[in-house]
Amino acid sequence: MRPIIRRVFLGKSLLLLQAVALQASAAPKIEAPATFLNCQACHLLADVQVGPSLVELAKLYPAESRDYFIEWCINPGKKRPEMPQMPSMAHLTKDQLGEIHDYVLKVTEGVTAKQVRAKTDPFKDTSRPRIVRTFLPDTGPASVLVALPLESKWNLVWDTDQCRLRYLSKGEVDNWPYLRSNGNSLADGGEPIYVETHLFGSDEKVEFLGYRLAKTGLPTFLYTVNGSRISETLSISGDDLVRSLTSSTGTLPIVDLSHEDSSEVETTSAVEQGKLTITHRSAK
Amino acid sequence: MTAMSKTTTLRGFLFTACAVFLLLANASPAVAKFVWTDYYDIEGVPLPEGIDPQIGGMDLNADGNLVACFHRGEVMIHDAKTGEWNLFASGLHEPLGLYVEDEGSILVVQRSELTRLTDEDGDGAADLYEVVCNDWGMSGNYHEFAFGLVKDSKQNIYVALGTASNGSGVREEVRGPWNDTGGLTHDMFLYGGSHGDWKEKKGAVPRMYARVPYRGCVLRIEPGSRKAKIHATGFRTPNGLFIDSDGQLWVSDNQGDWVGASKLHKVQRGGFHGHAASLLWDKNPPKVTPAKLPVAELDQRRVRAAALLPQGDCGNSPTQMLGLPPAFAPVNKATTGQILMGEMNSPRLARYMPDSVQGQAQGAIMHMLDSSSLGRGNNRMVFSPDGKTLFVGKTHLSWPGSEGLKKITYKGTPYLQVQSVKLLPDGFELFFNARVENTKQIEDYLIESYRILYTSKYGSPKDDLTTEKIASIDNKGRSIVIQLDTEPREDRIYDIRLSDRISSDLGDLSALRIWYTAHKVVESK
Repeated sequence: MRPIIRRVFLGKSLLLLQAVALQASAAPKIEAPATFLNCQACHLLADVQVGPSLVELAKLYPAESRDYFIEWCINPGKKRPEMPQMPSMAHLTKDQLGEIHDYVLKVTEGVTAKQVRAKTDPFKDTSRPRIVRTFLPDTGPASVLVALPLESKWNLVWDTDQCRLRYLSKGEVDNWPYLRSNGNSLADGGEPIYVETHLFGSDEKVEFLGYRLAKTGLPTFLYTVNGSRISETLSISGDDLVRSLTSSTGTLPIVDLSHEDSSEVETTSAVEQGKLTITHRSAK
Repeated sequence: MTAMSKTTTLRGFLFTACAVFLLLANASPAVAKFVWTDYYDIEGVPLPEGIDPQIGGMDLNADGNLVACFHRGEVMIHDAKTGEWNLFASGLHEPLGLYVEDEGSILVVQRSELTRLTDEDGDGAADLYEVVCNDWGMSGNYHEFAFGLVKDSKQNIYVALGTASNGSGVREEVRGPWNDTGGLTHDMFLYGGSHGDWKEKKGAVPRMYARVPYRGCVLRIEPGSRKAKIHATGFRTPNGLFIDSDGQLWVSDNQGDWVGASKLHKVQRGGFHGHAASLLWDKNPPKVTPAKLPVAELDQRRVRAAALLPQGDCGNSPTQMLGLPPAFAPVNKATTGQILMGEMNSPRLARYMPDSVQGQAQGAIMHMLDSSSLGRGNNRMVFSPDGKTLFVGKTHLSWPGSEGLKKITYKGTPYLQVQSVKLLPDGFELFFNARVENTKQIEDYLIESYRILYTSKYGSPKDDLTTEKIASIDNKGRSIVIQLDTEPREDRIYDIRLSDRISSDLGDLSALRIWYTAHKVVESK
């Protein structure tokens, strides 16, 4: 964990925001109806924010689609996976929604949408090892993903609520689906290749205490199981992932290695001098 | 470096062009002649390359250097001498609050927990990521942000939890017990795949919800405890916490259901602050979905906000608060207790000027640093040790906002301002920081009043909007008394637009519009 010194950078997206502001301010001033305050937190003139831009809405709902616009506002659906559902505007009258529609058409005349939220991550990070906390499939909402420094691009997903490994996956981790939807979509955590099912021992009382990073950048998870303090250290040995568990009381927890059938991962375990070592290696 | 300089120049040009356009577009007699950038230097602070430049939390460390946490989970320390940013920690989940402890460790609030980051081996980066508290629920709904972070003199830590939005549902795996009061079971909130379309399901759920512990509450985490205690209930999206010099906790909240206008709360321990959803976690929780409780009962029970910031005009999405120090504005003792508020959607900050009537904390909001140079997205703020410079960290989280870091330095030249507002039985007294002239043309003023409704609907119109007739304006030198034809009425906002002719030795008035929240009125003697 050497401190990284980063150079001065001028964000591209900031530049785009300014370009949009320039365009918006140059357009003739059209007064928004007072009820538009219900819309403006999510719909900008020419920019994608929480919902589509007004420019896009004007295309979807031209003058002849006024009734559809009003109907949508009263009973909105959800079409775009990357955007949250629009709340109903049923508290506004149809006349008021009609006024909003008029405004959307007028204010967007001659304006083109300038910025579309990027489909790929402008800050894509593929470094390994690295830790990503995000919303991931098939695990609890407070999980930790560790992108492992292995050529096989294995990742480990560890659930801080259950204090256990949930699965190993393979491939680049992409947090952009989560980020571009403001947390509404799950990140792509890679293809699961080894999923622990935890069939036994679900009555333990566990408490997550945190993790400590080694110089390698890999974590040791710290937690308690029925009052015993457990350290679970991740390390790489050759091409293998090694999980080493020790206990403050000398009593190791029962680690349930039940897992779904895995054709890619071979798992072995051994207890020696009060240490439980679990090794995961690529199946030959 | 050559290419970089070119980029800088191009950006500088675009920005200037943009500012000029804005000035032209807005040029009208009603706009103040006052220009904030005559009195404040506003400059951008370069951020490190490769970092998504959205800031979720900021503080100063013992060296006086900025520490900031970013959207993608990094914590970085700025070296003010060299301009370098050093990575202290990474991998956190949407951190929205940061606090540097006396011991040098750094507290960060992320979605899932309050975490203490400690550099144990002294290499300049954290090795221990220690859970201080994770005693709250997560449904996986995107809107369940965790906001923070302040510490009081007794070392209690306060964190505020956002509610979930019915813009979306929840995940199959949640943290914390599901609260199915009113028959709203977990499966009713699942969507996608075999669970069905959210459009079909959402009709059954309230607008913003708090079905896992303690969404919509302010939590107190006492020293040495890993347990969260519910300090107060009734919040929707409380993206701003502040402890004043008296140890009083203040929390801001965002317009929406049960929040007719964004607001600033003087938090009452154990109090219910208006948003119904979190009552599920109250000591005496309702037996029905909180949104179905009689509005009159909730209205009776709720703590009134010290100030409302009507949407669009006054404030959209208020953020963090700080006390306004004398080094940052030409303020004197009369301004004790004034609070600076961040603003997300518009290029400005807000300033709260307290008043108290019949024991009710209320008062006025005025804009400050209204400037395209400041820009929008003003999410987190910290003052330099001398109080002359304000750092403003920006974010948008895909809502209207911005990115980056601004540094705003007061040049020290006094300017004319309203520095406090007092409600009178028949009007208002506005105090200035200099003797004022040209105050008496009644036709130059516009005072409107209206009610902000308390309902489960999103936001509130200006209900019963009334133009107030001004009876007289009396200039008392350093203050003016505005007498209304109709005495001020309870539960109304008074939107006071002052004459732009008001002037003084210090020049023109810096902010011409004041929103006074009158929950209570002053009885005539």
